[in-house]
Amino acid sequence: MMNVLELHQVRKTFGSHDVLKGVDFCVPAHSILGFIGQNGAGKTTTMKLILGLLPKDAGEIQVCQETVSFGNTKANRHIGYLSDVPAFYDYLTPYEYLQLCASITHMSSADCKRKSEELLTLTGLWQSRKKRIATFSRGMKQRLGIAQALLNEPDLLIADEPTSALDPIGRKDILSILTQIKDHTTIIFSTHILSDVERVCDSYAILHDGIIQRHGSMQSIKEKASNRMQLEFMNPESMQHFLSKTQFSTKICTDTELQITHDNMSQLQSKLHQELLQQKLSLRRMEIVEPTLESLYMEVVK
Amino acid sequence: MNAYLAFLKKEFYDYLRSYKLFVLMMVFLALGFLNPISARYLPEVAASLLPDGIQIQLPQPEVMDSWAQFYKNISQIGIIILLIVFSTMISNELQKGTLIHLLTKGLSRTTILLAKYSSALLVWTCCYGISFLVTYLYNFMFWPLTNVPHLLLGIFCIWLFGCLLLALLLLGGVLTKTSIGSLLCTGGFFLICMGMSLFPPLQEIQPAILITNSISLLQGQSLPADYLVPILLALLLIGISLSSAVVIFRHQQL
Repeated sequence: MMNVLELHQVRKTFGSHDVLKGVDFCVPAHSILGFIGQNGAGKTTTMKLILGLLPKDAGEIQVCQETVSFGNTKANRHIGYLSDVPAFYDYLTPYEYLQLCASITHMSSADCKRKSEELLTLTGLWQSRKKRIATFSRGMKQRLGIAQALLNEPDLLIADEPTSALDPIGRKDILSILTQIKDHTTIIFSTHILSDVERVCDSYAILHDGIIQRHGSMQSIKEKASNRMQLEFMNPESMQHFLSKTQFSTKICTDTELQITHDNMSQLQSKLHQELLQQKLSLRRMEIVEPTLESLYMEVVK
Repeated sequence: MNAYLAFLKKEFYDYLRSYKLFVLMMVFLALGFLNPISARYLPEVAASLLPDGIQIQLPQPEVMDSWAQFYKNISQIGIIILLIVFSTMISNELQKGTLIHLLTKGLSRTTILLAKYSSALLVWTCCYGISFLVTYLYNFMFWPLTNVPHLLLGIFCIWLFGCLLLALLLLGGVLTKTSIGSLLCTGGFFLICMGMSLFPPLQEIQPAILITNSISLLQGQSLPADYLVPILLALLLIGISLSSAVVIFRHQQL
């Protein structure tokens, strides 16, 4: 499958602060990539580099096989961009704003009318098309942000924390729109809300300490072999007894629950059974801890 | 061209809906009325306010008084209001981040600055033109047979200086991203001109002479040729200001 976006060894420094130390990743067509990282990890910087709004110090960025360069907006014709708190001209109506965007992208007036109507309907703003943007809530502005980003039918939609500043209903609306448009466009969706990524994304990339620490499909997380077990003892005394004798590395969760980590799950299970039998301990619950995006993320940022 | 016209249209929506155009029109219209009426009737009003028994000889009002008022009012109140209204023309957009989405759609930064400057120029020209026409018509009504020498050249000098200040305002806004920065850039330039006027060789060529001294052209105290160098210098500075603003803006991180 063709890659819509490719980043190779991208570096960016602000003063003495190395924000990106060699970022590498690619996004295949018609997929949603969850771009995850802590606040200040460099997600917005990466996105601005892709858009040519900031100059990179080294590396290469390609959008639809076209190299991106700072200040040159040529590659941007393939991109739609939605910022975390999009700023609009308050004195315009959403329809006028979309007309302005359409004229910039050299769209014909018939296409502009058709596409504006279609997008205002998709984003639920059709009823408010004649109201000034000044009267819009944050969620409505975010939806208008999506409409303007999709106006020129971009190959790549870059959404920078589109749900971070929204209430649960606003978040649900945005995620549902992103899912609806997935068949027509490729999406990079930066966020630190992991549940949003699990809900809509096909793949993930975790940016931490200036590099992509983990990158893969959401399916691969589920398929990843677990190396942890969670035990729940009948009472705190049993757990203390177990802890005093065990040879496993453990992590205490509560006074009756703990987790054991081991490289080999089958070995862990047999050894654990032996230990429990020797110590004559019974358990209330024993389960394999399935890997999740959160556990993966915590592993990276720890 | 399409993008330029679309952005220009957006600028005029801003001027109309945020009442900037209305305020400027009203101010310049008021100044247009004020000049001939105050010149024509102020001596009569002053005489009527004097206590009984006191009589002073006031000179007969002339058309030149009205034009002197026009020059004074436009070059002071008019220009100050113009600068205040346009001081936010680029800084507001840079601070709020409203240009980001348009830039990512392929709008060129040069187009943005040219549309901003030309829309400001158009508003300045219209407001100034209205003020001039109103003063001219009233002057014609009050003093129909009076001819004023080099009137259009004097009017052009003030207009050109306004154009120069708008270019400096844009440069200041791009440089500092604040409206105060824009105003300081134009204010600083004016102070430099005033400084130059203290030195006789520079006195005659500094561009601020276009608004501080052009009434003397009408009064016959100076000749059109005296304004050639300041006019050329103003045109050169407009070119330099605009091209520097474009170069800086194209390399600015947003």
